[in-house]
Amino acid sequence: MAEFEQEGGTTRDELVQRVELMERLIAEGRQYTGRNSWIFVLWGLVDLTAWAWQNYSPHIGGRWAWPICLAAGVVLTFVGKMMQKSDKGYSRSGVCSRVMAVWGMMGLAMGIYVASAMWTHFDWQFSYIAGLLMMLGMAHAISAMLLRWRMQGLVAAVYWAGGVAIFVCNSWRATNAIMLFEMGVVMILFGLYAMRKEPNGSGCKGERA
Amino acid sequence: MTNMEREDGTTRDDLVQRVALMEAMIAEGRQTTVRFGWIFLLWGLIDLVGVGWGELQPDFRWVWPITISAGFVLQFIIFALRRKGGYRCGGSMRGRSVAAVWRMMGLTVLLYVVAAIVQHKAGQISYIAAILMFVGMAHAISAVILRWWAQGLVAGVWLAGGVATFFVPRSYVLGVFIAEMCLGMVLFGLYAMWLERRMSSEVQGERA
Repeated sequence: MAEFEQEGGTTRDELVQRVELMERLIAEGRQYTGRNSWIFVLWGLVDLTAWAWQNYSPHIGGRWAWPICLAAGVVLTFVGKMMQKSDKGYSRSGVCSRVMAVWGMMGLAMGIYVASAMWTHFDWQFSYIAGLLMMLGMAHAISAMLLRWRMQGLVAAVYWAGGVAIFVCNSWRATNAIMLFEMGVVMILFGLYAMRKEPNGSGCKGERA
Repeated sequence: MTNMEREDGTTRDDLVQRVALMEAMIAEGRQTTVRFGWIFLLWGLIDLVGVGWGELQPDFRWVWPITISAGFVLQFIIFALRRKGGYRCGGSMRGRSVAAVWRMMGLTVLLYVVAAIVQHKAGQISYIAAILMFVGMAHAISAVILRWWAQGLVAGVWLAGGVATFFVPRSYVLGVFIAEMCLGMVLFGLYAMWLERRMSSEVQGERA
């Protein structure tokens, strides 16, 4: 195709370069998600552990299952991130920073929400559990839009559907099953999928936008 | 200062250019938020009308469905009018990222609110707290992306409201909600609209 010039003076080569840059930034963002997807697996396991503890061993401090497991999850996340930071040669592009902002702020909002609800004993309400799934869905949806990632968009839809289903089913048995599926299965599966998608040794390496 | 060259070949001018580009992108992203400041004002007023109407007619179940639907209709009408007037959404990546945050927040709140209202769970404390948290989370993400401390402050107000909803006595929850709408929606909307007016007058001044 011959090189054409637009009205604004932008040549075809410049447009191709811009598209390539955008594609590279989006790919870097996905790699960043893949590099940190162990956090999804970790939190899926944390949630499953707390759920199993509360349901199968309620006599061994079952009341404290969630607070203890969540606190352990936060500690493990920080330790994992510290270990990752010591792994030199990685830097963040603009898209990576935005994705990080999404998950960082989701973690903050969810931490405050969960802690407040547990402290005041409102964590039994259906709207509390639906709110958690909606929050996760929102973070996945924003990230999916930033990274133009259809699979993550699907995960967002699954979380939203779970949140709506909790209200629709209106029963503790269904809520338990939905929670187990969303927090355990979906989170772990997406984490494993994103880990597999991350190309070896890459991930926002040394490039900035 | 002389034009120094670093080990990797990046000159001081290159760095200055990169910083200027980043600042321009952040400013563009803020402009996108500021241009849509009227939406905050609109939804703040819509919610306050809903609260007022609900207090006057507590037995009428259709208060919130009607109020929210009216909000959407008004939003679409104002969008259409502004598009006719030549307003366009910011085209930078940062602007699009912020737009994605608000669109997804809107969709999340809509799904959550409709499901809760249909199943008569809108009176639960966690329901109100979750809505405040969703909006606070969106403000916080946008504030980090745009490095905008004023919006970060608004995010803090929303998150604090979410926490307060759990801790204050039941009779004060409505007060917390009204305070959030006045501070986090109406006031922030007015602030954004004031910024928009100031920016457009500066642009006009430069052209003149």
